[in-house]
Order: sequence, then C-alpha cells, then structure tokens
Amino acid sequence: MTTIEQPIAAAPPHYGGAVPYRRLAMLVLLALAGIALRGAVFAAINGGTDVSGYVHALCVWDCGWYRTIAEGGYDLAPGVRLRPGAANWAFFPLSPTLAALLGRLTGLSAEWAGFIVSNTAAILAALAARPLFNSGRAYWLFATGLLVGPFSFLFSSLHTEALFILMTTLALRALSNSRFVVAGLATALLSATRVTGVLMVFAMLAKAVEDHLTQGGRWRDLPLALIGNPPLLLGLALAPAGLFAYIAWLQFQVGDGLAFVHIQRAWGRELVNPLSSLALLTELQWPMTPAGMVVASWAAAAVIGLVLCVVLLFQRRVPAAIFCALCILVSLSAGQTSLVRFVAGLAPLGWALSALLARWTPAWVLGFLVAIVLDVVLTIGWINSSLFVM
Amino acid sequence: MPSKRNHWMYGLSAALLLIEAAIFAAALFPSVTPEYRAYYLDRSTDCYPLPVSGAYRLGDRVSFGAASEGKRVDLARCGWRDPEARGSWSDGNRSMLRFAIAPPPADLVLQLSVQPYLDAETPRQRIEVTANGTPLETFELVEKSPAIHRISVPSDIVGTTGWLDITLNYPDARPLTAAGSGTRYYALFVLDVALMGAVD
Repeated sequence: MTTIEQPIAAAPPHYGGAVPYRRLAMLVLLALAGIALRGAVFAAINGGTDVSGYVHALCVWDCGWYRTIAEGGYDLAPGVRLRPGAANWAFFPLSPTLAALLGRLTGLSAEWAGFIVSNTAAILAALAARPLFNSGRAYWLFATGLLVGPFSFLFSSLHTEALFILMTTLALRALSNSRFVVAGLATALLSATRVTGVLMVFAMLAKAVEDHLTQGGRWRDLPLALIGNPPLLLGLALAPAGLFAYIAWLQFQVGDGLAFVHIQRAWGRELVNPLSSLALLTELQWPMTPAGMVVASWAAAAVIGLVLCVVLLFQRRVPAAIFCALCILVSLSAGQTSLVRFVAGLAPLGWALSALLARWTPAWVLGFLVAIVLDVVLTIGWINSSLFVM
Repeated sequence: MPSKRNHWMYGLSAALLLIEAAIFAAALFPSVTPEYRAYYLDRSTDCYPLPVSGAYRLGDRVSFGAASEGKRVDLARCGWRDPEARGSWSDGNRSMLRFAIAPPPADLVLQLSVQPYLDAETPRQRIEVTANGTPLETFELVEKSPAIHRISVPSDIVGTTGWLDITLNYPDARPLTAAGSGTRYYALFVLDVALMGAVD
C-alpha cells in the first residue's frame, strides 16, 4: 500500500530566512533550458535564430490585448481594434502594468518586457513553492513542468498565467502557516491579475475553519472565533483590494466600474450554468470536427482540473482544492472557452499531479519526459496560433 | 501590546471594507452613454454603433469577406458577425454601415450584394433601410441565391454632415441556438457593398 503525500500543514514553516541561492540558480538554469528549447522549436519552424522574432511569436491571442494595455493604457470606449465592439477592459492590470513599468525603465518593447516579467514570475513561483512539498521528487517534477513543461510557452509571454501562479503560490504558502495578512496581501495582487483571483477569500475562510476545528473548536463557536481573529479579518479585507482598485479606476475612467464584465458581450460570452458547459462533452458527435475538438479539449481540461481538485482534497490541501474548484466553476459559467489556459494557470493542480506521479518512480521519470516532449509539441501549436489553448 | 495591535487591525479592516463597499455601490450606478447602456448593460439592442472611420471612395465595391477585413472594418458600425470567406452575416435585428463622403451633387445609389437567411419557418426576409434616420425603402428577399439590390439615396439626406449612416433593420431575423454560443439572430449574408453616383 502506498502512502499519500503529507498535507502542506505538516511541512515546516519556511517563511523568512535566507534566499536559497543554490535552488534559485538551478531554477534559473531550468528556465533558461526551457527558453532555449522553445527557441530551438521556433528556429526549426522559421529557419532562423531571430530572438526578437521568437519573443514576438510567443505573443499571440490575448497577448495582443495585454500589449495594447502595456503600450497605451486602457481604452476609453469600445472600438474596432483587434475585435469590433471590444475594449481591453476584460484584461486585468497587474501583468501589463509590470510590463509597462519595465518597458519604461529599460526601453524594452512590451513583448520583451512581458517576456521577462512572466519568466521571472515563473521562476519565483517555483522558488516559493518548495515549502509546499514534503518530497523533493515531487517538487522538482512540478518545477520542471512549470519551466520546461506543456504550458511553459504561456508562462513565458505577456499573459497573466505566470503572475497568477506566483501570487497563488504566495497566498497558499502564507495560508499554510495561517498568516492571513500576508495571504490577503498576495490575494490583493492576485485579484489585480485576474478576476478569479478574488476567490482565494474562500480558501482563506476554509483555512480559518480548518484551524478552528484542528484546535478543538466547535462548529457553534465558529462565527465568534472568526470575528475574534483580527489577522483573518484584515486578510479578508485586503484580499479583494486589487479587484476593487480596478473597479474604481474603471468607474472613474470609463464610467462603468463593472466594464470588465459588461464588455464580455463583445466576445459573445454570457453567464451559463457551469455544469451545462461540461455536459457538452456528452453531446459530441463522432468523428469530431476541428471546431468540435477545440471545444472538447476545453471541456476536458475543466473535467481533468476538477478531478485534480479531488486529488488535492485527498492530499488534505483543502484551501487549495476549494480555490481551484471555484476558479474552474466560475470560469465555466462564462462558457468553456479558454479553459485549458485557465486550468494550466492553477498551480495547486500541478502540485497535486506532481505529488501523485512522484509516488511511483517509473511514473515520476516518465513525467519529466512527457513534460519536455509536450513543451516542444505544444510550442509548435502555439507558434502556429493553435486554437485549442485559447 | 497585542490588544492595541488587534484594535489597529480591526480598524484597518473596517476602513478597507467601507472603501470597498463604497466602490461597489458607485459601480452599481454607471455613468455611460445611452448607446453603451442599451448594448452592454440593458442588452436591449444588438447594435452598438462603433466609431468607425467610414473611409470610402465613391464607386468602390467593398467585399464583406474575410480577405478584405480592413476595408470592411472601416464601414461596419455594428450588427455584423466575424467575416467568413465570401461575406459576413448580420448579427441581431439591426446592422449599421457608415460612409464618410462629401456632400454629393446628385442622388446616390446604395448597392448591396446579399443572400437572406431562409428556412421552413422563415420563408422571407424583409429588410428596412434607413439613411441618416430617414426611411428609404423596405425590400423583401424570398430566394436563397445571391442577389444585388439597389436603393436610391437622395443627396439631401447626406447634407453637409459628411456622414451617411445606413441602418438595415431585420423584422424577420431568425433566432438560432448553437451549443456554446447562445442565441444568435440571422437575417442577411452580405457579400459586398457599394455606394455609387446615380449615373455609375
């Protein structure tokens, strides 16, 4: 009988202290290896070694929208740029703002600045995640998957995923030690990265409940225990600050604080029952058309993500499981579109999968190989603007 | 002192929650244009008139197919789906076009190459055409094959504004529901559009 990896609460507290430079150096080397591998894929496709061309090739789909924000700020009204009737309000500010700041400081283009911001965030996320693993085997499989894995091209360009993973990791790492104020600060940044980041408040509440019950508290005493926990209350109040700052800015600038929701109409997105989005999998007709395969891959990603949430529960990572499940269900409520990308950006699912694979050496070794092969294969699809991820 | 620290945290939490509540309350009362409100908030219309340039040279036939996306985008204000290879479907109960033209010395002719959406429950499509708010004519399509339709546009309608805003209303638009994309209203497939002098 095999044992399930110990829960994160059992990990020793690793906040504070010196920076683990050796691990950082190894992660930087791993990231550089990933960049070189994807660069080689780009060179093989295009027959050249133009580095800027490589960075440009990674900047497809939503990257174009983030570039408009980094280069010229937010739109004042819906227009005809990129998509008639759309505006860049649907894209949250933290990632393009960091790219814009780096661009201003260095003179780099938005694409290059976004490339550096995202790669740095991915490396820092891998560095910060170490205390969340009891097993070095699982940790290095996760780090490899992040930096040289199936979706590393996404974590390496001007998108939000790498920053989302970093802030998720920081928030859940703080929560693992019941540091609610730090978790609230990380969630504030998370909610400025993508709207679903605000759902971390439910993970914070779950952790507070878990702490209360672990310490022998009774359910009937729970409300008073929560109110009597000032760091928790401050953390919960801080958590949505990024989202509310963006709402305030939109209200002031555009006149509609919820413009990021309303503008979804330009993409034909409407609120639906999240489960009906999944039910589409049962309605697929064979043989599948290319469009059907895209939709099926989105819905399948959601199902796989939800299954991994159950694995997280078995691993007793309850706050992480709640956060990921809510992110998937809320994303599904706007349809299946982009679910592969959204699921790929949920770091705890990677933790769950890595911990699972690390239990058997053959699966663990195969995990590295598959991650690297998929990095190559999916980068080809990405550079050719494949639809399936977006 | 722990109690002092707790008071500080309670106070900061309350202040943050108050600020966030105020922001949310403000967001419930958007201050936007009537067009924005109708399209994005109330969803009472399918047409949000975009500030397109209307750049157009009199007599040009502008394809609504994907290959000439640039020229189409200059004219298409609202009520159009993403272009397909040969043309673009209308989207909703209304479509709008904008032409930026100098005041014409004589009447103009609006030429539309179109195909209607027809099925067993929709045997005809009526198209009501207005120019700068003035009704021009209503024509009816009952054949699925492509047809060219010409509509006279009196020169005084253009006036001195420099704009000719054409609205196509579709009273018979057919609602169709597809998995993953909600309900869409189909009426007209436009292959190309031209505006010509009456003698062209």
